Amino acid sequence: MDNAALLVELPRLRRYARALLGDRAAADDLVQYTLERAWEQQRQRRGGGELRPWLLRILHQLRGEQLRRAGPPAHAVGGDENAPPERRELLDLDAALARLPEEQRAVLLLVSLEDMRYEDVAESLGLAPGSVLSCLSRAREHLRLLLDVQPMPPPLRVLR
Amino acid sequence: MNAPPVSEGDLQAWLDGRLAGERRRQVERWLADNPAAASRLRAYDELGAALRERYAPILAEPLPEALRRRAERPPLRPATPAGRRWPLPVAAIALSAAALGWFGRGLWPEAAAPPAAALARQAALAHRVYSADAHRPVELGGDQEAQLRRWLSQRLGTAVRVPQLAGLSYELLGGRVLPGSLGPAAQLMYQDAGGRRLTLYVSAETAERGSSGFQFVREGDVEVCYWQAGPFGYALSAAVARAELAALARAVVDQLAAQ
Repeated sequence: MDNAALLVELPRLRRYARALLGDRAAADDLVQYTLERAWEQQRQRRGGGELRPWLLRILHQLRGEQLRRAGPPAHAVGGDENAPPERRELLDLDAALARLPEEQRAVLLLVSLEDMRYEDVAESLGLAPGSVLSCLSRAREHLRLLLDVQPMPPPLRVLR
Repeated sequence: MNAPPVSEGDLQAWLDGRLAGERRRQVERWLADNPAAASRLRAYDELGAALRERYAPILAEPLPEALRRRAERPPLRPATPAGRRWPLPVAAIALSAAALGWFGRGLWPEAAAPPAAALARQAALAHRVYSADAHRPVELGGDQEAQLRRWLSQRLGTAVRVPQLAGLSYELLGGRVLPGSLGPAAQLMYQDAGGRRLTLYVSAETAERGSSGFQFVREGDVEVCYWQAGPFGYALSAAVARAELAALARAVVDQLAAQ
């Protein structure tokens, strides 16, 4: 592990932590703790493997410790009546995401945002590989209902 | 033809592009016959796109300086091997001092050289004097390493560690005690097969406490890398390029932490 490799991962780690926690300062703090622990534990990362799943695993371990210590934090995300109209939709997405159980939110973000392989998602979250797909399925449906997105009409374009 | 039944997991995997070959075609055929499921998947796809769009701007944000710094290898807080942890109060003091040093770096005005630089100058001088000494470069040889460590620890009043750099082709020649500005200092000397000498200057009575990153200064042909770690100020000196010295200094830090 070297500085350059870590620096490359930083923007994505920040993005993920922000989406997971919904709060900029809390997210950057979590990323900072993750970097500190990564340097402390680098010797245990023998045999290499990809850096990102390993960093995300550390991040989730730390997050688990935070939650156990303090109980779930109350996020101040939600409808801001004073937000300009074009921002309101974004806030709705944040708020809906914040309402998912954290494990569902993590799985959904790791797959949709980070485009991670299911095995790596399981590894990063310390989940059984088989539970990732069911968790992902619940998360997607949950988010769809929260945002009241209707099933899309038949395709004018081919999906993927 | 009877294809295996399509599960919800198959649908998720198809949506994420994780199905290949025949299985993918089977799911697509199934979706063609199940427009409700296909519509639901399209909604998921739209939500995924919305999430990526929503959070994409974060990738373009400038990195906060505190995070950028944390991405750098912390030279003086390497992994403490289990079972060799400092007592908590000491560690806490070192950590808070390290944090102060961390954020304070770069805030020093160029003109006011930090006191640690004085240690680096003394180390460079000692290196020049003793590494050139063909007959008696050290007072006590590296072949009596345990005795050397005891002696230096006694003189400096705290446990001195002697890193082994044989892995980098530098053999321990030995060490000596020197007068420092605030008390006795130790000099450890190493030599490679080509006769090039490397010295590690250790002072337990530096003006500063806590931990700092590596700093470099060049005194003539001698390059010095110096840093603070807990109660010790260290300076590594050799007539080598800065990058090579930095690699050696990292090895020293790893060795010190591993002992």
